[in-house]
Amino acid sequence: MIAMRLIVKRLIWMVPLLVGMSAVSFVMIHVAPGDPASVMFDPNFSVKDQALVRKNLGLDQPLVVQYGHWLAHMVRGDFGYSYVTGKPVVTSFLERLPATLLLSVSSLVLIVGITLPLGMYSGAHPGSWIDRLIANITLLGLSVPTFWLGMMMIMVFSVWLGWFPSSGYLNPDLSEAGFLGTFLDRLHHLILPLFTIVIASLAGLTRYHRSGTKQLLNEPFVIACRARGLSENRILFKHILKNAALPLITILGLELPALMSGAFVVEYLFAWPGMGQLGIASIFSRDYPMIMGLLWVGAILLIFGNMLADMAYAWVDPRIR
Amino acid sequence: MKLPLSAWVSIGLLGLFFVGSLAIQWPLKMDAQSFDPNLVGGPLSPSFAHIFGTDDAGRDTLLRCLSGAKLSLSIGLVSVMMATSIGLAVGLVSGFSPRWIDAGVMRFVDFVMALPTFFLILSIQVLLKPSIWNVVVVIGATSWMGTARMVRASVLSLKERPFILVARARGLSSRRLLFKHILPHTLSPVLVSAMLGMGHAILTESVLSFLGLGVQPPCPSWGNMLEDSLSYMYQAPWMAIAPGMCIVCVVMATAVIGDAWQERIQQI
Repeated sequence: MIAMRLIVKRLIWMVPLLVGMSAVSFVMIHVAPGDPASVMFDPNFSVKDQALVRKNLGLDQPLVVQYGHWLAHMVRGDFGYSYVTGKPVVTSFLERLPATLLLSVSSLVLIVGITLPLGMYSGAHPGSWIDRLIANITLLGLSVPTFWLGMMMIMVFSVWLGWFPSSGYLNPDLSEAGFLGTFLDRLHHLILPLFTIVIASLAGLTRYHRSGTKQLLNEPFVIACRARGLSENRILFKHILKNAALPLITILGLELPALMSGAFVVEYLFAWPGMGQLGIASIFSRDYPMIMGLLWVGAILLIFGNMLADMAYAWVDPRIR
Repeated sequence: MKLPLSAWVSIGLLGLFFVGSLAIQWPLKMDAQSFDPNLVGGPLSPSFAHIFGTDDAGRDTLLRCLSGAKLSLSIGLVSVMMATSIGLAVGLVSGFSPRWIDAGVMRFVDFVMALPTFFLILSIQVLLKPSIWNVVVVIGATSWMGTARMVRASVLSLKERPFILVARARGLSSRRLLFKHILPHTLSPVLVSAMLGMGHAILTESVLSFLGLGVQPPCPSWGNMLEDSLSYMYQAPWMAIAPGMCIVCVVMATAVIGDAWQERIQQI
């Protein structure tokens, strides 16, 4: 019941947030030098034609009217049309969504799957050489710029060794290859961008999990377990793991922005046809409806991510309900 | 001061970058932008004359890396100083003010934290015409929230400590209480997070420049050197490796120093 209240509160809080953010970005876009319509102008356009284009886009009206217009359409799920392709913004989003989901969900799964054992081992054996090795590797992962890691991956595994393709999502020749062939080819394309993101984002979670495990091992309940004669492994897996994994949920929610920005650049670098690549392309071409839509979607994703993290936390840990 | 060896090595490394970036400015009188016209025509592989090789225009990669160090370090430093001052101010005001101001300020912090920062930075850079100062301001203005929350939390807990109650009972003014008695106690964790923030700022700057939205060529920065290297990945891998290693070294050094500092604070 309290969880329900939490959700409702968050959803209500979302409204002023989204309106505020979109208003700020809307004003910023329109106050900035350079007319949004100028990207559509042909050099041969006369001044009259230019005015006509502006009028068609509604750019001749006052800013407040334009914003109200945008907001009214927005609420009905209509983000307008891309200035570059002329397609509805929502259609472009839906086209790009599967690729982004594939990359982000698989990297999330892998990050958690790798973090838990690494952090648990480190925390249970602080000071051992494996712990120090893991600490050094995570430090490296923390300091490497994601895009440079991706470049090095391309250089080693696709230029020198030729094991994986350096870009793209699916081999065009293989479109008729059937389910298994397509699946394997997609996996083949996925591996380099996936591991770039995973390696660059391992560090934070692993460090938290290590210190959590290490701290819990000194708790009275662990000493009680030991006194009852439980084996160390049983204590680790049955009693520590759940408790130490709790804060990870929140941390994961907090790391979402970093994950998103990493995915942005990685998608750009590997020509992965997802939302990130679309975002960078539309920023460069000053495709304003697209930029506004992406800002909006990004904010919604962030809020929902944190909300899900809070809910998961409340669900796993009855103490805070 | 007792710090682990790795921290001293990191401090030395940062110092080396600092001195190196000054050296090419002043005693060596070498301008990383000038290049030998005889070399134009292709990147040269590493040799004794050019330890890290040269780029596609015949410019020495090492010199350009050092020149980039000056930019990256100063962008990191200035933007972190900006973020830390904003964070300190917001945190102190929020923690020390009556509850309704505190609540309002914290809602604002939540608001900024819910923005898709990276995409916002990219959009701002495109709209405002990329320049070094824009990079600094944009990074500074979007990375102060963590510090603000931390400072607020420690002010809230300090307010209830006996020595503050005593100081209050002796009738000290709010300003004196805040600046002489509360602020000094909040500083050390703030400095640690500033250290880590500097690494983060350098990373952000490199991404921006890599996308062509940060420091503009011909002014060398590690990010735009990497952008240049993209088309020469096969012929001239050193063009991509050298600036990247510089970023990794500097960011890692800030992380190691920050960690060592953190541990020292916890020991005291």
